[in-house]
Amino acid sequence: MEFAQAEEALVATSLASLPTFNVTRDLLAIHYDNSPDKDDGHCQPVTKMVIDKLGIQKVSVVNGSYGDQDASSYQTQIAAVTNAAFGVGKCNPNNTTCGLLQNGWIDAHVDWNHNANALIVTQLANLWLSVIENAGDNGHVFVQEAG
Amino acid sequence: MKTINPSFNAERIHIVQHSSWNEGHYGRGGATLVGPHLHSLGVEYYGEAIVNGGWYNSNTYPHAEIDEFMARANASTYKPGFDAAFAFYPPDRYLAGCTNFCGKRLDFTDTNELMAILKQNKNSFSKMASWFDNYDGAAPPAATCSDGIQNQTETGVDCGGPCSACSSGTTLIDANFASGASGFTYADNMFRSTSNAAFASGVHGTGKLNVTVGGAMTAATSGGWSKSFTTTSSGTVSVSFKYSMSTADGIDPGEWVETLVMINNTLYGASPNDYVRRIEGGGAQVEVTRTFTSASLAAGTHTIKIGAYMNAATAAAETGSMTIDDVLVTKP
Repeated sequence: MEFAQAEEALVATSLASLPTFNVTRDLLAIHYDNSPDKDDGHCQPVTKMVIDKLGIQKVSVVNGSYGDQDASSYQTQIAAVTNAAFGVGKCNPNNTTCGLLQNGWIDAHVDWNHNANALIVTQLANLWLSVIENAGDNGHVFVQEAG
Repeated sequence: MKTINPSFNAERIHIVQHSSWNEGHYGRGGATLVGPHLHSLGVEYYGEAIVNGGWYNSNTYPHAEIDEFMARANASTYKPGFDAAFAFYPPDRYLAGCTNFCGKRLDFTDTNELMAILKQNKNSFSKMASWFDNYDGAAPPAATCSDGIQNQTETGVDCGGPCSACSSGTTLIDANFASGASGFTYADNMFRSTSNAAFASGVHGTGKLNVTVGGAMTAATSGGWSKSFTTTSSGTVSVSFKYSMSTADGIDPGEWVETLVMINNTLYGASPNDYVRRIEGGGAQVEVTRTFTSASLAAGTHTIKIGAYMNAATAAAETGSMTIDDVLVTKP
């Protein structure tokens, strides 16, 4: 699929039509690129406060989701921020497919390298499918594309 | 995801972003790796979370407010996270020796997406430190059927699942086509004023309604299934149906097949288009569910039409097919 076609395949939606987030059923998939901007750092403890306050149960946090941008500008020091903000064992408590966890978050930087078949991609795909196809729960995946 | 499960429902994935530049990157990556029909919401103009976050006009942003926010952070149970964040990205980094956009900065722009997803009213904050009034401290209360939140296994806010049933309104059409067309009737030339009946057909089979369009034709064609329903008061109706699409023999660039749905004379497409799905130059769409809410309808009898349109084809084998299943029309 050419890039132009891929972009056309996205379905533009609106804030009003965005489904209501179900804090028990749905997955909040947080993707920080940390490349090159460092503002993602400030957002992490703030985001964790909201997660806790609303009681969101399914959360995945990814650092290094810079996609087709330059991996060399990734801010590796973000690891200390994410460790402190999100802690241990908070990623996907009901899912065992997230193998590349570092203290509860997913490190895409170690595996991505512009490879669509990277293990991290397969792991996240399985995680998302587990929510969408959750035995008729009709779960949704909401991607906080914090790039 | 398509490799793992070719029939997964991409319409259950919602990507929210506040930067059109970044939308371009994830648009290419997401649609290529995950597949079409991702729901994409840009919140470029949703504003900056937490009262501008100090990003814009940071040289004039009240330092006292930033200091108050940091004091609240220092006193909160989330202090370790804030300490690490401020060490990584010091708020006062643009003070000493700075010549442009100088000042203290906190940057929470990437919480815009979060606020949009959770439909939190960021505009309720009179100042940055108010964030702590809303989100610091108490653990979430146990979920109940009266907490005003859709949680547990509720299918609506405080209804469904372990709570009392949600009000589902009046069912106007509920057709699964298991044993027949469930009152739907097929007609050629249903859409876009086509007049080429020889190249469209419809049958009931395999528990679904089917439509085939195309061939060695000289003009566009269409065909679809329709059924009438009656409302006793004015208002919108909610519609959902499943559809799939396929094309044969690799239709050429510039030739396309569309899935269309219409109530009375109004098409309800995937905004900004008037079609639900268009496949140009070959390809297929696995079965997915399409849902939408109609415009307000007057009390009376109305007709829903679902089917396919093909703009052009040059060979007998250049056809497009679609299936229709599980049509549900309700009035809230």
